[in-house]
Amino acid sequence: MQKMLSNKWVILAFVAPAVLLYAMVVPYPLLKSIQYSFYRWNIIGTAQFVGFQNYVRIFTSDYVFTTALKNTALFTIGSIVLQIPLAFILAVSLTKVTRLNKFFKSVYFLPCTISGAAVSLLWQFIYHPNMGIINAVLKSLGLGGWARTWLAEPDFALWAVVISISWQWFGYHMVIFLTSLSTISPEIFEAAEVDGATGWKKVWYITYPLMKPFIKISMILITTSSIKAFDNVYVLTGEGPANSSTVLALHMYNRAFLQLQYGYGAALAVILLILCVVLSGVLNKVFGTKNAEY
Amino acid sequence: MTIMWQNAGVDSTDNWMRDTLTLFQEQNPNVEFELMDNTWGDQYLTQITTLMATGRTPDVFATWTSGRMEPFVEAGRMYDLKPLLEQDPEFYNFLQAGPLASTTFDGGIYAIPYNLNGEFIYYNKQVFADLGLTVPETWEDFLNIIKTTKENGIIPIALGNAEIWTGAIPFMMIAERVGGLEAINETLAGERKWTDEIFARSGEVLQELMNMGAFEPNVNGIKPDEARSKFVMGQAALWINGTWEISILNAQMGPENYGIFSLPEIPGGKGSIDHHIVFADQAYAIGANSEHKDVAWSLLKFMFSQERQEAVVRSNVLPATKVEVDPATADARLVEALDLMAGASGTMFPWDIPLGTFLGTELNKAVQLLYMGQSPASVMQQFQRTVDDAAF
Amino acid sequence: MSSRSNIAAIAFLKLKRGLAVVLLMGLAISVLYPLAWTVMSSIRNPQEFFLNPWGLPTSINFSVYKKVWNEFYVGRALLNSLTIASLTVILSLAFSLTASFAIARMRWRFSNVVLAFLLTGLMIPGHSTIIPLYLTLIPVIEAVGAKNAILIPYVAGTLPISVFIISSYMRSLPNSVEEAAIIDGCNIRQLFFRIIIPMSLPAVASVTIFNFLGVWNELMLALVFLTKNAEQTLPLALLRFSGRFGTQWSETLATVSIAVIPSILLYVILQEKLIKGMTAGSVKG
Repeated sequence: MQKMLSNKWVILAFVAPAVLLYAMVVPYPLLKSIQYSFYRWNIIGTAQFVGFQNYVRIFTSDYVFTTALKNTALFTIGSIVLQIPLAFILAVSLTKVTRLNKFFKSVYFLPCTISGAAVSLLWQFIYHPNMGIINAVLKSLGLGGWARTWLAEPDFALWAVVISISWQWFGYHMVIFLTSLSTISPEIFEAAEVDGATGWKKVWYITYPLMKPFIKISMILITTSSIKAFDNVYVLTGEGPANSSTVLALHMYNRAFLQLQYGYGAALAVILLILCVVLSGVLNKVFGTKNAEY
Repeated sequence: MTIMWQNAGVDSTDNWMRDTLTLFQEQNPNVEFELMDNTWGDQYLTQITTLMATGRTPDVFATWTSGRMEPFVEAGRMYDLKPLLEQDPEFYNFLQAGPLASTTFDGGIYAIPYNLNGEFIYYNKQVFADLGLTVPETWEDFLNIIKTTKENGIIPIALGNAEIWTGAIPFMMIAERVGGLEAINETLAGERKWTDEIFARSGEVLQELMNMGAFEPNVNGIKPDEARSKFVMGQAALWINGTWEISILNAQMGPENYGIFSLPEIPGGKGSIDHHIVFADQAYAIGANSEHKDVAWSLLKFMFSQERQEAVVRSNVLPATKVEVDPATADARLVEALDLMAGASGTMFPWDIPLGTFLGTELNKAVQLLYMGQSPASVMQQFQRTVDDAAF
Repeated sequence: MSSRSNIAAIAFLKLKRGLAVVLLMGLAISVLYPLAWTVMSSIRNPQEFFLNPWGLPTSINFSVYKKVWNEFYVGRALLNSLTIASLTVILSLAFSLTASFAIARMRWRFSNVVLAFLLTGLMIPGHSTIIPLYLTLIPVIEAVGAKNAILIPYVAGTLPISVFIISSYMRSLPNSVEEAAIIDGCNIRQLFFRIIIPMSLPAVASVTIFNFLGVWNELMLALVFLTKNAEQTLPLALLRFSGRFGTQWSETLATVSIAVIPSILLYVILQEKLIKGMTAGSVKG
C-alpha cells in the first residue's frame, strides 16, 4: 500500500495539471502587481518608478485608507459574528429530517444563488428612506422616529452592507455545516447519550469539536472574502456617504481603475494581500490544522 | 470593425447610434460592426482603459473630453484627426469650435464631440402656477421660491445626491455667482487655492439653503432618478441637472409642463446670471492602431453629417455641430436651452471634467461633506491638501 | 415522577419546539419575501413601482420578459453564462479532484507545500491582478477568442477553494478506506475512481455549487475580457439596464429573476445528493 500511495509518477500526473494551470494564471500577474506598486502609472501611459512613495503616501497622507482599514476589520468581524453562529445553530437544528426542515434548508440557501450586485440592488430598496420596507415596518409599529436614511448614515452604511451580505451567505455556511454533520457517525452521539449528554450539551461537547475543521473552513472563507469584499459595497453604498463605508478592495479599485492611479492601487492590493495571508495564518493557528478524532 | 460607446440606459443616444450604424451599413454593405455598447460610466472607464493599456483599442469609440480624455491622448492611443479635418474644410467648418477645443491637445484634434450640455435649473410649471411663482430674476426671488414651496409642503429642490456629481452642480453654480468665472478658472488651472474664501463662502450659501429646507433632509440617500420622478410628479418644484435630461423629461412629463432658468446673481457676488456651465461630454475617436481608419473616418463623417445631426436634434440632444435648429419645429425646451446658452457671456466646465478622473471625484466627495453639514472652510482645506498631494 | 410534572415537561418541550419553528419561519420569510418581491416587481406596472413598491401588484404584465429576451439579448447572455459556468465547473472538478487526492491521500514530501501554494489564491484580491492577467492572456484571446480564454482564469481561480474543500474532506475519510481497497485488490486508478470519488460526493457537490455560483455571478473579469456584446454573460447583460439616466427596474429585476433559475435548479438537484446521504446518518443520533 505504502508503495502504491507514494508512486511518484501518479502523484505527478495528478498534481501537475492543477499546479501548472494555476502557476500560469496566478503567480505571474501577482508578481507584476507587486512590481507596479513601486511605479506611478495611470494604466495607459508610461510607468514611472517611484520607489516606496506609493506606500509612504498610503500611510501618511491617504485619509481614506485608515477608514478603509478599520471598515475592513469591522466588516470581517461583523460578517463572522452574524453568519457563523446562526449557520451553526440552523445546521444543528435542521439535522432532523421532516418535510418542513427540507423546506427551510432550501429556502435559506436561496439568497446566495443571486449575484452580490443583484442582492445589493434589492437591499437598496429594503433600506430606502421613503419606500423601503424597514422604515415602513418601523412606522407601522409606531416607531416612525427611528426611521432613517439608512444608506446615507455614516455610522450605519457599513453595517447595512454587512447585514445584506450576511443575509446572502448564512445559508451557504449552513450547508457547509450540514455537510460536515453528515460525516459524524451516529455511534458517537449514541455513546454520548449513554454518558448522559443531551440537548445543547451534546452539541457543545460532541458536535462542536467535530465540526471545528468545517467552522475553520467557513471562518477562512468569510475572512478572505470580507477582506476582498467589493461588489456589495460598490453597489449598495458606493463607499459613501463621504467614504464612510469604504473598504480596502473598493478603495483599491477606485484608485486603480476609476481615478487611474494603478501603481497606487497595486500598493493597496499588496497591503490587502499581506493582511489576508496574516489573518488566514492566525485563523489556522487558532483552530488548529488537525481534525478532532474519536 | 469594432465600435464602442457608452450605454446611457433609457436614452435617445443609443437609438441614434444604432440607427446611424444601420444606415451606414446600407450604404457600405461590406462593413461589419462588432458592437460594444453595454456599459456606462465607471464600468465603461474600466473597459476602455484596459483595452487601451493593452493596445486593443476599438476602431471607433466614445471618450470623455478635456481632463478626462487627456491621459488617453498622452498615451498615444488616439488617432489625430486634424490632418483629415484640414483636408475637408467643409466638414471641419460644420463642427462647432467651442466643443472641439475640449478635444484638442497640443494642436492635435483627437475626437469629435457628439453633444453639447448645459447645466441649469428646471422648474415645474404646474407647481409654479399653483403657488403663483414666476421665474426668478433676483436672489431674493429665488429664496422666495424656496420659502413658498416649503411652506406649501412641496420639496423646493429635488436633488439625488446618492450620486455625488449631482450635488456638485448647485455648489458650482453658487460658487460662480459668488466668486465669478475668472476666479474659478484660475483655481481650476491651479493658479489659485481652493482655500480661497469664495469657496468657503459658497459652501456657507449652500448650507444656508439647506437650513431653509431647500433640499430633502435625506438628500444624500436619494438617487437622481427618484429625485427626478418627484419633480415630474410635482412633489418638487425645482430640479437641478443637465440638458441631457430634456429628452427624458419630455417623455415623462411633456415639454409644455416645465421650463428652464439660470441661477440668479447673489448680492455682493462677482458672477452673472448669464454665466453657464456648458460642456461637451461625449466625443468619438479613432483608435491609433486601428486597421480600418478609412472606414472609421467615413463613419465619423457620416455620424456628423447634416442628415444624422438633424436626427440628433430630433432626439432632443443639443448638437455640437452647426446643424440648424429650427425654433418652429424643434422641441421647445431644446430651443429654450440653446437660447440660454447662446446668450451666455461666459461659460465654465463642470469642474470634475478639467480636474480629471482623480481630483474630479475627490472634489465631488468634498462637496458631499458640505451636504452632510461639515464646515466649508475645513472641507476646502482638506480638498486643497488632496490637490497638493496629488501633484507629487 | 408525578404525572403532572411530566405534562409540564412535555408542554415545555412543545413550547420550545413551537418557538423554534416560529423563529425558523420568520427567518424563512425574511429570505423569501425580498426574493418574491424581485419577481413581483418585474411584472409590476413600471409606474406603480415607485408608488406601491411592497404590496401585491395590481396588474400583471409579463411583457418585460419578452422584451429583455428579444430586444436585450438576455437569451444569448444566458447561453454564454451557461456554457462558461458549466465548462468551468467540469474542468475545475477534474483538476481539483486529482490534485486533492494526491495531496490528501497519497504520501509524498511536498504535499503540504503544493497545498499551501494553491491556497495562496484564496488571499489574492482579484481586481489587483486583472491588468497583468489580461496582458498575459492576450495571445490566448487572439488565438481562441475571449469567451474561451476567460475559462483559464476562471478555472484557475476556482482551484484554491476547490482543492481546499475537497482535500479537507478527503482527509477526514478514515485511513481504513485504502486498506480495505487494497485487500480487495484495487489499483490506484480504481481506488480513485471507484472509492474515493464516490465517498467525496458531498464535497464535490459543495464545490460544484460554489464554483458555479462564483462564475455565474462574476463581473469584474467578464467586464474586462468580454467587451463585445456577442460575448457577454448575464452579470454584464444586467449592466445594460443602468445608465446615466437611472435604472430600468422592471428589466433589471426580470433579468435577475431569469438569472437565478439555473442556480436554483442546480442546488435542488445537488441538494438531494448532498443532504440525503448526510441526514440518513444523523437521524439515528
